Amino acid sequence: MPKNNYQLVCGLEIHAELKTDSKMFCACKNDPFGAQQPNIYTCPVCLGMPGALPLANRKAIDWTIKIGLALNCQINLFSKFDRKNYFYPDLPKGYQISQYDIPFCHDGFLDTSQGRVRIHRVHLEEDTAKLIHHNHYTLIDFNRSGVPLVEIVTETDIKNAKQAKEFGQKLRQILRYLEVADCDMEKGGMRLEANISLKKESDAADYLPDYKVECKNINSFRFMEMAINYEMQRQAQLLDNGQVPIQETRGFNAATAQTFSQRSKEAAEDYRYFPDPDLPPIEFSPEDIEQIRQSIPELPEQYAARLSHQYQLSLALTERLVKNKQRAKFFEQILILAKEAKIDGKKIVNALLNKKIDYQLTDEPKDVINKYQQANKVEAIDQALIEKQIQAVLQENSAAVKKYQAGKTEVLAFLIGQSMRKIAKKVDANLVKNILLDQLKN
Amino acid sequence: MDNKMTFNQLTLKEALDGLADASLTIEELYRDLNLAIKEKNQFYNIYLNLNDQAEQQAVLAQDTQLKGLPIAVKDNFCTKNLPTTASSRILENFIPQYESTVTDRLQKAGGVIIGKTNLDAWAHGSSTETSDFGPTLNPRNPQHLPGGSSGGSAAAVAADLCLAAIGSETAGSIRQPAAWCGTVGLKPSYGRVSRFGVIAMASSTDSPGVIAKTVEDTCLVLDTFAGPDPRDATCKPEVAPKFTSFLDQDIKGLKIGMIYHDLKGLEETNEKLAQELAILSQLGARVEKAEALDPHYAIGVYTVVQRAEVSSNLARFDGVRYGKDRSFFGDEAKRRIMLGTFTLSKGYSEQYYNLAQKVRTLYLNDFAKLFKKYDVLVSPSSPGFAKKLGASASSPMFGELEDMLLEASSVSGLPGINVPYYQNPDSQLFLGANFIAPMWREDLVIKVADAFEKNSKWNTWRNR
Amino acid sequence: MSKQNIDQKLVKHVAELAHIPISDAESQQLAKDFSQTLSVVDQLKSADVSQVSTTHQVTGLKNITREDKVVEGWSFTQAEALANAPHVQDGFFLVPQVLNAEDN
Repeated sequence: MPKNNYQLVCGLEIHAELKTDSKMFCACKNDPFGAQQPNIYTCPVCLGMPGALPLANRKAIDWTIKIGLALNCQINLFSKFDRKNYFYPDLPKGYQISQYDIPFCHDGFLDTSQGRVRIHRVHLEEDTAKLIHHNHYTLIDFNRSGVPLVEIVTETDIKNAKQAKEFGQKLRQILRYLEVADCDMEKGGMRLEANISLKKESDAADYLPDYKVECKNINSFRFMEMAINYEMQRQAQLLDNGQVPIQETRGFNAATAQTFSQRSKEAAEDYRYFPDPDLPPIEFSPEDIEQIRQSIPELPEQYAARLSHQYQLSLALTERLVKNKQRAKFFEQILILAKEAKIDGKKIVNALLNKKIDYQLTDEPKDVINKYQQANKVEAIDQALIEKQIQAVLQENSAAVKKYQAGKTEVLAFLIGQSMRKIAKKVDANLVKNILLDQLKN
Repeated sequence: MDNKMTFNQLTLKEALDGLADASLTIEELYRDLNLAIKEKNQFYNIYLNLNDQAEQQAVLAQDTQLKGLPIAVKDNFCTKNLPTTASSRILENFIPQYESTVTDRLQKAGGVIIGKTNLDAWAHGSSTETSDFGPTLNPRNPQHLPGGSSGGSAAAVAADLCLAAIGSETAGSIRQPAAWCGTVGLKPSYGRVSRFGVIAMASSTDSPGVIAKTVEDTCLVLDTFAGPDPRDATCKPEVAPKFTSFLDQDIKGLKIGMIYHDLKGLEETNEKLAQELAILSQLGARVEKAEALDPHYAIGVYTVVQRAEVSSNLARFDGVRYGKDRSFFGDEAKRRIMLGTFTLSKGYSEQYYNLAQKVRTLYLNDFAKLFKKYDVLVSPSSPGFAKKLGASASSPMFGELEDMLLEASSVSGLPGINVPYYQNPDSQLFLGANFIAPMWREDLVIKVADAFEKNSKWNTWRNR
Repeated sequence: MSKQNIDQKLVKHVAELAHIPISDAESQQLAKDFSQTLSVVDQLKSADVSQVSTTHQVTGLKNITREDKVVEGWSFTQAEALANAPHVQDGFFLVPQVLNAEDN
């Protein structure tokens, strides 16, 4: 247990690949994960050949605005691309085209169950190539070079690891609902980074520690939660001993559930940002922004609330339902049809969710409803037949009957069971019980 | 006409006319040209690589705009399957698998690339002496430099080793070598011609253009490749005019302002220019002295902006995907990359890069003011005649000082043209005049330069 | 304003940032060259820029973008992409050295 009470100071940096058809600054196919061979979706531009020039993908820009609006951001009506200069073999031009001081979106927020997380900025940039490391050499595949990448940076509002996970999941859900990104972490479609430091609870609310540890290469929300928790512990221990954690980049080892040092960050990089002279600035009118806003589909929060209200379902249920947009739309179709046919849609939804009925999201909703109705058909009751069948059961089970009449009433359950088996149809168990009791009296 | 004249000594227009009326065949032209290249190329060091398919391509291009005529191309234009070196050891073995927009359009219009010409390595200079493959000599006087960075292209024209040449200008690199070699050099407005496939120097001022024997010839070539390109976002999206339509125009009433007329050290150059400009007055134009913002600031603007942008543009040369590694950069390239890196770096960018970009605005504003009063401005293209070999080693700022008179219009993106206005009978070297006009107004510089050329005696080919 | 002190240390730092390998002798010469160049550039400081802002592009163009479409004719085949590379393996570019396995 740490000696002092420390508070987490944590901000997240999340990158998401946009699923446009073509790359950010060239007309190559945007499908790095699906490519059958390395370096087949390249051109002079994304390979950084001499004389190549970038041309910005309009859709990627519009989608970035869309994301910003969905995250309640302000939009900069005037924006531009800047060059971020540094050397690395996965960066063919020796600079990344990104955004520096005038990002497309800024100052938004996303609410979680533990409060609001403010979003500092959302900007657009290009992805780097993929490196494959071997013992004595490195291989490079440029299929990924130039893919549009949106970067979302939060303020240091993350209170704990659980909230970080929730934020990440909610963000992913929104991006999927907007249909701008698949955020498939195994495919590198979404990448998480957490900046972590600790301050004492007694420090001022706006106090920022003079160090921060950057945790990178975390490829699941669960790992991010584990990494943050581990870091909090590690840093607390150091601080308790009067040491200041080194400002550095750390990776996460899933096997040991620990972070490890990767690179010292004492000398901050000098990226020598300047506006990219090859790309004219971008200017929006308020009408442009409004048009993009209109194109935003219903987002998970509103969707869950609406379904809950419209169909009298619990919010807990609808929030669970909307986790997958395709599935939610499917269920909504069922609810709509059920309402029209004056059937209890709630029951059907429950049956489907509890796997009482088999279905595929590609099925026709009305077929699924029929399936349900078949399975739950309340059959016409032939009372006379049932009475006769129950009479037969009593005759076949005279020993049990004697027991019952001797006062062992628990044997009734056995008789009900036998009767249900003999009837072999769906009947109300209470009805069977009443008839039995009736007959046993006599 | 000289009895010993050969077909490579024709102007582009004369060759086109000759092919049209069959007074000359394409084979005859190439025969004379190839002989001349064999005779002179090694000595003047003009072409780094020759296209051995040229004549075959020319024969097949008879039904085109340029009828297969041989055009020299500066070796910073990427030409598919033809080596492209930027005169640097780093790209010594680089063979692009793609074509620059300019050379693509040129060839589609029937122009044939006869060879790739020498330049200052990476276009860094005003002499062609910083080429990693040796300097080019000035065909007017081989003890002198041809200027730069398009020195090879200007020399190719002056030596009749082509019928026109493609060059590029970042700050003087078309107009200055054109002046030193006694040829015409047309630098269109920035954004008039696509930069796709041109090895980038200063992205915000690089302008591909033409060096040729006459103003008419430069227009004939520029017409084949100017205009919008979906692969260059800084290229003006509107269709370009036909530049040849601006020839043979009446310049009566045109207001011409002579700038930089009282600069120290330019007395002789300016005096001669003032004399020659009388031709234009006789044609009805109004020529008078004008006051422009001191061009010395432009040196600083250009130095900083160019080096900053080039330091970033040359970062891609790491020897991984093509070329050799960075240890193969020549001294001048190393200097410029490092200075550019410095002026962009933390703690310095505000006092250098941002300051330079602000002074740039001062020039834009100054020209806007001047163009309210004048249609065209004129000054010498260069402080003096072509310098002797070895001159560029005198200072790391040699290029900038030589280009001082052209830098302001370059960093402002204005169109400009150099026409010869004097030849020294002893040295055979030339002085050239630089006409500039507002952005997108190539029509003005072309019509005044054309009028000047046709009514003066300084054009070598019009005055044989 | 004070003249910028360009010493070898600064030159070496810049060379590192720019990934330009230089020798000790070169860094000495470069320090001199830099000083000379910067003394010319320093003239800029006497210009009055109080009323102006920076110009980064002279065309005045805005919103030049492209449609989200794949253009086959602009792309390379794998062979074209690798054609000028000094080292390749199985369709990849090869860098014959170990890099920090730290980034994605």
